[in-house]
Order: sequence, then C-alpha cells, then structure tokens
Amino acid sequence: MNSSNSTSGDSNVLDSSSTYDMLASIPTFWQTSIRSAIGSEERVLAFIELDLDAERKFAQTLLALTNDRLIQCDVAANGAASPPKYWELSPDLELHASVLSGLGKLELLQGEEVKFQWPFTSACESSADRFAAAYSAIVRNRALSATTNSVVARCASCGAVLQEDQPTCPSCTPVAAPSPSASLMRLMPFAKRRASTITLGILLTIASTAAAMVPTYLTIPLIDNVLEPWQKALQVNEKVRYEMIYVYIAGLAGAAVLAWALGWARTYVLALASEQVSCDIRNETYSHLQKLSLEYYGGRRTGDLISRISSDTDRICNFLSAHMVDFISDVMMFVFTAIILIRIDPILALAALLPFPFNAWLIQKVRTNLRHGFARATNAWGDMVSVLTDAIPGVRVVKAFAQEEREIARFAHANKVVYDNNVRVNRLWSFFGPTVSFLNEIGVLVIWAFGAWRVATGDITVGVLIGFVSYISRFYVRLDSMSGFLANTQRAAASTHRIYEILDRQPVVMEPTHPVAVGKLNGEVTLTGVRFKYGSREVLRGIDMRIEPGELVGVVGPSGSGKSTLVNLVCRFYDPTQGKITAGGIDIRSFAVEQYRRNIGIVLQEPYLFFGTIAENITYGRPDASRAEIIEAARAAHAHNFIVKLPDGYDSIVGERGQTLSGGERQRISIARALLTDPSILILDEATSAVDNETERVIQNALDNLIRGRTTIAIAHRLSTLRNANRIFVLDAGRVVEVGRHEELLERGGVYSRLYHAQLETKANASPQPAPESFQPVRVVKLD
Amino acid sequence: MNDTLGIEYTFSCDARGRLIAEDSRRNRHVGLSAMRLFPMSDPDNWIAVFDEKGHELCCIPSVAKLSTASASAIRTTLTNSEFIPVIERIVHISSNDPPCRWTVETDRGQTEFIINDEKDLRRLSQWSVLVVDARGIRYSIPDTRKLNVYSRRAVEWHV
Repeated sequence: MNSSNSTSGDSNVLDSSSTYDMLASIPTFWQTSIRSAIGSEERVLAFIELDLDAERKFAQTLLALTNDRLIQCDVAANGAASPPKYWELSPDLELHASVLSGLGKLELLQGEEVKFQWPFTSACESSADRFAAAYSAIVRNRALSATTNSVVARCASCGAVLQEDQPTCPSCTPVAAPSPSASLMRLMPFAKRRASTITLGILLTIASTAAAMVPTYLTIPLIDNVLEPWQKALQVNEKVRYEMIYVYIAGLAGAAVLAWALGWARTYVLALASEQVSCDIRNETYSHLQKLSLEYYGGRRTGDLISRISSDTDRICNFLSAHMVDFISDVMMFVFTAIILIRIDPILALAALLPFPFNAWLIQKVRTNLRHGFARATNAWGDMVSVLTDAIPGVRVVKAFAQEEREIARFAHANKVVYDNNVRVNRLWSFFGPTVSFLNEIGVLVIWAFGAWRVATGDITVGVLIGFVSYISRFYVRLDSMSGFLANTQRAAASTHRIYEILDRQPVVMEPTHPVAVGKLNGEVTLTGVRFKYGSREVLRGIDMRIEPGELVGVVGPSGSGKSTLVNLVCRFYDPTQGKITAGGIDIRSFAVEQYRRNIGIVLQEPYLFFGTIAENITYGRPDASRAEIIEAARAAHAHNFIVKLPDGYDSIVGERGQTLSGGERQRISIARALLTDPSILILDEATSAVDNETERVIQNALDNLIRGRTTIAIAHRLSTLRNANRIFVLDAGRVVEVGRHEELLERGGVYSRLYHAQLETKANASPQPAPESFQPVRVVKLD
Repeated sequence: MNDTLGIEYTFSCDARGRLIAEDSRRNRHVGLSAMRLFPMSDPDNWIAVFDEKGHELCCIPSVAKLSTASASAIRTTLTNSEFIPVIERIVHISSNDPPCRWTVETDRGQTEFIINDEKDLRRLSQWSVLVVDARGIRYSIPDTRKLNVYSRRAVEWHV
C-alpha cells in the first residue's frame, strides 16, 4: 500500500510507463486520503468530486475509479478522513448517472438491485455523466478506451469544453464576487497604459488640495497680527501700521487664484484619464465579445451584454473621475488639516477631531440604510415597468379577453409598492440631510465651547480659534460625500467584476495553432460519426453524411431532432463532441475560423438587417463590391424590383430604425447578401418558413439562383420546398433515419411521407386554392 | 447605351416633356420615368428607366456615357420628377425636440414643415444632411458649413 508519505517518485514511475493516470490531477485536498487508499499497482483512471453525502447534506465526497476498483473517500463531520470504501469492478456491476430536478444520483447497480447510491447536486451533473461513461468503458476494456478518452465533456449550462481535471466549467461555477479591492485592482493594467496622465492628475490633486488649505491658514495671522491690534488701537486712540493687511489680502487672493487654477487642471486631467481608461475598457470588452463563440451569446440576454459594455464602463469612469478623486482629495485634506491643527494647538486639535469618528460612523450607518431603501425602491420600480412591458405589447390579448380591469389592478398594485417604498425611503432621506448638518454644527460647537475656554485662559489667540472653526466646518461638509465612497466603490467593483466576466471568457471554438490555408473550398462536406452533446443531453448521436460539391441536400425532421445543431456544427459555431467534419477532405478544425466561414453563406429564417442603407446591407459580407455587382445580386435575389420602388432606391435606410420592409423583402435582401459573397457552401436555415405561400414562391425563385452551382444544405419545415433536392436526410432524435430523393422517400412510406402528408392536409385546410401567380415576371441575370 | 440585356436605347423628350426611348430594334417606348438607384451615394450614375406600367425598361450605369441628347433627356426627366428643395437658411425652429415646426428658406422659396422624429434628419456625409418632413417631402442640406451660424447650430442640434 502506498501511504501518505509517497513522493512524486511514484507518479514519475507511472508516467514513464506511459499509462494513463489521473492521480496527480486529483485536488490537493484529497491527495493524502487517495494516496493512502490505492495500491501501488493501481492507476486512477477517472475521478469525480461529489457535493452531497448519503443523507443529501452538503459534504465532499471523492469517487475514484482505478483499473481494479471504485474507491470512495469522504470527510467526516469532524474533518478527519473516514476510512475509504471499495467496490471491486465486475462486469455485472453498472454505474448509472441520472438527474431529476436539481438532484442527481450515481447508482451502482447489479441487475435491478441498487448496491450503492451517491447523491449529488446538478452542479456535478456533467462530470457525473462522464464518470459513469468512463466506468462502463473501463469495465468493458479494463482500460480507458481511446474513444471514451477523446470524448470532450461540455459544461451543462454554457456548452464550454471542460478539461479532464475540471469537474465543472469555471465560467459557470457560481463564484462569490471577489472583494471590491480585488476587483478594482484588475483595472490596474488599463490604468498603467495611461500612467502619465494619471500621475499628473494625482500630483495636481495634492497641489490643489494644499492650495485650498492656504487661505484659512492666512486668516489666523490676519486676525492676530492685523485685525486684533487695530481694534485695540482704536480703543486707545493709537496709530498703527496697516501695510501688513495688503500682504495678507494679496496672499488670500493669490491662494484663491492658485486653488482655482489647480482645481481646474486637476478636474480636467483626471476626467481625461478616466475617460481614456473607460474608452479602453469598452473597446477591449467589445472586441473580446465579438471574438467569443456563438455559444456565449446563446445563454445570455442581449440587454445584459449591452449594459455591461455601456453602463458598467460608464460607472467605472464616473467612479474613477469623480468619486475616487474626491475621496483622495478629502483624505488629503483630512491629513493636512490634522497636521496643521496639531501643529498650531495639539489640545484644541484633539477636541476638534474627537467627534469626527463618531460622526463618520453615524453617517455611514444611515447611508447604508438609505442605500438599501433606494435599492428596494429601484426594484419596485423595475417591477412596475415590467407590468407595463408585459401588458402593453399584449394589449390585443388583454382586450380580447376583456381583462382591462385586471391589468389596471395589476398595475395599481405595482404602483402602490413603488409609492410605499418611495415614501419609506423619503422619510429616511429627509432625515439624513438635516442630520448631517446638525452633526456638523455640533462638531463646530465643540470647538467654539472648548476654544472659548482656551482663549479665556490665554492659551490660544482669537485668530487660532477662528482658523480652527473654519478648518473644521469645511471638513465636516466633506464628511457626507466621503461616506458615499464605500457604496460607490462597491458599485464600481461590481461593474469591474461584470466586465471581467466577459474578458476572462475564452472562445469555445478554438483557433488552431497552425491553421491550414483555406482558399476557395470545392464544396465537398463530409460528416463522420458526428456526435454532439449539449451538457448531458446528446443532441446528435452519430451522423454520417457525405455531401458532394454542388449538391442540394435537404435536412428535415421534427423540432428537436438536431437539424439546427447540425448546421451550427458545419458553420463551426460549435465543435462536435466526437467525430469530425471535413470540407474538401480537411478537418474544418484545422482551418482558421474566419477564413473557413468566408466560404459559407447562410440565409436564416429571420433575416437580420443592420441599420444602414440597403446597399450597405447587401455588401455586408463583401464591402468592396461594386454598384454593378450590388444591382446584379439584388436582381438575382429578386430584390431589385421592390428596391426601385423605395424613394431612395438602394440608399434607403433599413434596419431597426429604418424603412419598414416585409419579411419576404428582408429575406430577399439577405439572399442578395449571401449571393454577393459567392460562398462554396450555402446553408438555408428555414429560409422560407416565416413568409406566406405567395412570398415563398418569389423567395424560392431567388433561392434557385443562389443555390445554382453551390453545395447547399437546406433545413426546411415545408417539405414541398425540397422537391428539387438531390438527397433528403430525415433526422429523428439525433440520428439519420431516412435518406433519399423526395419521391423515393414518399414511396418508402416512412417518417418523411408521414410528415409530408400531414403538411398537405394542413395546407389544404388552410388555403383550398393555390394563390394565383400575380407577382411580376422578373429578369434573371446569371451571376456565375 | 448598353442595357444589361444588350439592347441599346436612345432617349429624348416629347413635346409635353415626357421621356421617350427608342431601342435598337426601332421599338418606341413612351411615357417613361427615370429614377436614381443611388440617389445619395452616387446620384449621377445608375439610373433606372421604367415604362408606363412601372416595369423596369433598362438601367443606365453611367449617364455621361450616353449621347449628349440622350443624357440631357434623362437629366431633364430626373430634374422634373424630383422634388428635393435645398435648404439655404433656417429661419426658425419651434422647439428643440421633435415634433417641431421648421420655417426654412429653400432654393424654391420659403416654407414650413413639421419634423416628427429625430431620425427624420439623416446625416449623409460629414457635412450633408437629408431632412424628411412629416408629409414625406425631402429637403437636402448639401453642406452645413455654408449655412449661417443659427441654421448650422439648429441642424447640428437636431441631427
């Protein structure tokens, strides 16, 4: 038996025998117990960390699979390792993983009998699935077979590829937000780029804060050396020299001008620096976001991503330019004030500064309550808005079911919550402002009282007292804004964290290190044993198809059969979990992603037009296209005829805020866009599903021009559109169940013919007579 | 002039100023209309000619390459069929935010119109702006630098 004192020498021996061993990958936490549990000849082939114990309480359990045994290590409640449990591997024992509503279990089965059971939460789902697969493979071969070894595990929630030693995906594992200071420190690389501006800004801050302290300092000698003697002299009718007054007045004026100029420079320089930093962050985040694989966008709301780039960077910018600068200058002012006061009169300084910590604590306390109140009010506001966004777009349904009163009541209720919350927060808020001034007054009062006594005893002059009062009152005014700093820091740190969530993310579709030059593909596409797993759900279960250059291939099947996934794999939006896709005989994973995608044209069910002119939209994939080519493509896509009817022709603005076009018109523009890039492989993803029969025919004509001479993979709901397809692949539950031409498949009377007849019936019911052919004859220009 | 189908056309205007085309096979087409396909980005080229029923008869890639007579016929037709007054001075704008009433002096005289939405002012290039009023009439400002100070500020504010 290996004991806990086993050294790296053991693993070296194992490595040199070039057999698979995962012992070193097991987290350090388990190393002692696992090393003591396994025999010297045993190799760890797979392991899993489970997060529940047998009673379904949160506890750490390690299951390790060696070439001989299944080993369980766990930690008892007192933290001491309990003795490991063993199960010898045998062909009649099966390991089965399942998950039901958040709770999963690994079961060791012997026939129908459950020998043992390990519960876990869905956090372990995908690794449990993999572990069970590894178990069956090992039992079969008593060694991890090469194929199982190469199965790439994917994160259940985002689809990211998991490393062998990674039980869960790092991006999806819920992590507590790091401490604000740790988050903000991550801004350092951005700050470093603008180091000179920032340094200048900080120097200016120090200078301007110091300059602002000078006038108050000058008032002390002004009173003591000039005003006081004057007053005394007046009383005894004595003449005094008054030249000094000019010096002090000039000094005050000079200090004021200096503070003004420095304050101006400081504000400008720091605002500039923070604007530069946030501009850098925005650019970096957006370009990183654009490079992330499509998978990332799937799981996220668009609004959230947009707000990360717009509001979060803005918040950071505000924090850096306003809150942090104010805070730094306040702290400096505090330090300077304290130094000056202590130098003038340490005892009075003590009295003046003593109430400060108490005041600061009180203000902080009230502010925290206030912040919670505001947060509640904001949430209530959001709820009210969501009632609106829910009911107003759905107003037809509301009216149809005569539920206006109910909607009014729903809104009134949400509005009442807003009212209550606002009233509550206003009560606190109205208390807050006067309280702060009251505390300031008290602070100043302490100095007046204590200072008056000191003046009476002759320890300080009136000038010193006045100087103290004016320093301290200026100081307390800033206390309020200082107390807000904590909240602002937390908010800015949260924003930084959200931005780094994007920046830390790696694209799932990896660029090869030594990409093969793509050039122009001939259009041949072959899928060999392609499987795709989305989390633990297997969407494609071994697809084999060979598509010849120029062939039109239809892909049909019920929803959820894996049609779209297939297309996503061919476009390389994802990589297959197993198997490979080749284009022109080369694995598409060895091409540079961007170059490969240049060979692909895609027409989606919902065409997306960008805000811009029609010409710009058509040339989106090839901005260098000439006007002649644009018109040619538009003609071929049967878009020219409606474009010339628009007042601005090809310069008409379309997209979100532009000219409204019908679905069919938008689709034809997107076909023109695909035509212009002249792709070798064309993908039609339900290109005609969203339009009526009439428009479908026009689009179909346009598509015929597009398809000519290209390898085309067409996903279609309306099977009639696939009559011309060379072959039709019928998918069901991730497998190809039928292949053949339209007529062949109809004759066979399988899945395809059932789907086809079902559609004919619906169509016949919907429109008994085919629509007359009333669209204009269109001129077809050959593009190739 | 070559059309995409290889038919040559010569253009002229009849007594009433309507565009007439005669193709190389001596077919006469009357009552034609012309339209710029790229009115902003390339106004002088790519002119589409339509027949009476609105079907496209041909497309002229470059007017300059037509014979002088044909070119002037096309240009006259375009000028006659287009109405895009050039705004020379903005006299008054009723409010800073749409909807607002604009009083402007154009090359076709002084007029008033309503702007409904900010997006109805469209920047074509750095200095040129297209204005679409509530009735759909378009006005152009080819160079904002040539406007007076008030007009320029007003346009910059709204674009």
